[in-house]
Amino acid sequence: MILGISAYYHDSAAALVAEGSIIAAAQEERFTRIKHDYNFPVHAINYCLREANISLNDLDQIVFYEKPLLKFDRLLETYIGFAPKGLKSFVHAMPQWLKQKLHLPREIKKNLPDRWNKPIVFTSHHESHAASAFFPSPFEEAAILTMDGVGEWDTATVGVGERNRIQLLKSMHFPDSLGLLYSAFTYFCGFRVNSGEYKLMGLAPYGNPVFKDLILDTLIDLKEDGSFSLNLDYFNYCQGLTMTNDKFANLFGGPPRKSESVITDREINLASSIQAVTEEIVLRMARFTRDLSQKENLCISGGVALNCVANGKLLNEKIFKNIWIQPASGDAGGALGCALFTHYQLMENNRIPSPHDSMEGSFLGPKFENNEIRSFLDKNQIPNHFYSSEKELLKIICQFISKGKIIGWFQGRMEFGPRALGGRSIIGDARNSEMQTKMNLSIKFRESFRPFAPSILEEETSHFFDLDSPSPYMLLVAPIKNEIRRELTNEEKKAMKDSNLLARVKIDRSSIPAVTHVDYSARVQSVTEERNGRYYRLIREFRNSFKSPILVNTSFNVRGEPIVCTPQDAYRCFVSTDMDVLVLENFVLLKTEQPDESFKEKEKYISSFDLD
Amino acid sequence: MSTPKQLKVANKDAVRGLGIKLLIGLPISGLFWTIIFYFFVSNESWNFKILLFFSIFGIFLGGGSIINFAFGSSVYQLWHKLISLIDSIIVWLFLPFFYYLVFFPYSLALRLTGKSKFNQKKIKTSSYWREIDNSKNNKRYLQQF
Repeated sequence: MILGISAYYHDSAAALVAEGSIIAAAQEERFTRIKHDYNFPVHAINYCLREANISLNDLDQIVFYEKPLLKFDRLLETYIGFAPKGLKSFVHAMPQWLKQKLHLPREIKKNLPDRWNKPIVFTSHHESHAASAFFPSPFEEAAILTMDGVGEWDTATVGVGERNRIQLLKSMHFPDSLGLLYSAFTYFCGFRVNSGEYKLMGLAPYGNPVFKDLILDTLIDLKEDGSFSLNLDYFNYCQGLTMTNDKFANLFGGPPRKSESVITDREINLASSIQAVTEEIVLRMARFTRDLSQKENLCISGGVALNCVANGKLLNEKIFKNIWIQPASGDAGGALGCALFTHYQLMENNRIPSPHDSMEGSFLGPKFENNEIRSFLDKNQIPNHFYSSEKELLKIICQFISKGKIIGWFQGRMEFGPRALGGRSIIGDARNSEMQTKMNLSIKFRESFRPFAPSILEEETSHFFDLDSPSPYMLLVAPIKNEIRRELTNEEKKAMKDSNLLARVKIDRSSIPAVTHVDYSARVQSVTEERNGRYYRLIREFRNSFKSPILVNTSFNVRGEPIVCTPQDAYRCFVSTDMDVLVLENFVLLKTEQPDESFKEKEKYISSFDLD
Repeated sequence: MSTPKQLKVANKDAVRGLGIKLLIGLPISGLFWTIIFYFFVSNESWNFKILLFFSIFGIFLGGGSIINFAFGSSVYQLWHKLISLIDSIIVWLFLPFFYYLVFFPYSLALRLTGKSKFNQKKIKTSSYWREIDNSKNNKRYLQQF
């Protein structure tokens, strides 16, 4: 049994692998309730051990997902390259390195729940990503493409996976990084680096890529094979505490947008432009990967692999016959990758790929049984209704959904990775015109322009979306079918130029307006009974009773909060937002029946999370 | 890019641990300074007021922290603020010194000789992909580099 750990940068996590099966994996933030928690994942490790019912002594190996000294080498070389500039960044970074990161084996052993006397294994950052992409994939052999901000020195790698081995063949080096380029624009548009990239992607369809040529001519020397070099005259991330500098601001007509200020056409068009550039780079890299590897399957991982719009374009281009994307593609997934790498490649165990994949639908986190939920509800005297029959439960929930109610849906194991896939989700009727605005503003308390994703029965996908491949992890954006689109009136077309994004969002574009983005696209989650169990049966029931196989699905949290983990987290979130119904396994809680004192902490709860 | 800021949260064990440290540590510090004063400041008589002062302070802060969690939490927070302040002072005194006296000359030398990775003139190339050396053996996985 192998324990993989990622920590000390952002999204620390732990994963446990036994005989090639992924037993458990979870991000530390879900337990500590600190978004993107970077601390040593002691809670996640304890959970993994608990799930397998083992102690630390039962483990064969503990693996860390990157090589700290190589990373330190990169840091020092960067400072040396830019000194005397970069002092502030140096003074900020060094104490943590000197006290903690340079002594990782000691730090890891100190923080483990028990004594560990064996050596710690260290894989490289991109090896971990590549392993997390290939080993759980359904492919016997495949090309591998990893793209992220930066690991040790590598920012992107190309490799191949065959049976129980991966081999990285080519890499791009820091400071030339697609992840950092995207993050630079995220920062410049006023969003938080390492969490606001989704917002930039969601903002992109509102604009036009008017800066694309400027970016390609000035900021980046892009080659035919997708490799590129960044013009560091415009960036500040090597030596400063910001991503971009004054020269960058001058190029795009003024200083960076202040966080939470009005989003102007400039930011919208910048989002659109950098998205277009990213797609161009990803496509070129993918073609290069195919030519180099001569494989027909592709596995992708790394933070950039969470750019589902680029993934959708990649799928559409048919460069590869099949594509598989690791659902926990960020650094959290590194914990899983390094554990799998050790099991297959270092311990030379056989690998038999599963026909779909071996991620278990990414439901790798804690589960709470009905009796545990009952004790919680009884202890806190929370009014509830228990449905012993699943059929009855699903029927009543579908009725609520059809009436426009918003449901907190808590069932089964928690998801590993950034997406809620029906284990810890907030759901509603995708046909409801008010749903997107209501969910954004009074449930999630987030920006009005952000789109929601549809969960759809896999067998119905082709009736609604131009997508000929399953998308179980919500990692592919696809166009909505022409047949269900709605032609905009002249007045609505005029409103689409309104500077207020909320006015644009409110326009119905299809028969499923709550999940139709302004460019008629949607981030699809295709749901199967095998992967999604009760969630699939819920949507099937909704289709059978109310003629729609689609639900809106968003993560069960408010802005800045990690996705809920326990029934307590779910209940707190439920009473602090405008959700109407909470489903905790077989228990149904109605907002109207909750005692007044439950709502007292509402403001305090919402303000306890830093805006992301 | 910085990692998100997280505050140290006081829990009962941590507060109690600090209380014990203060209860024992401050009288020992008092004894230390009493000896220092005897030998280096006044070599005629022992000044036990120093020991007494430190001991009372230790009993008040340490004992109080052990008995009362709320009081202990405040002491804990103050203690960490003090550590953080001392930490910042040391960091801002030492690291800039190191940065300007060691890094800067080295950086300058590298730049003048054209060896710096970050300031080299871009060579005309058709690709920025680099080969990965896969020749190393598996022992490297036990190393942090």
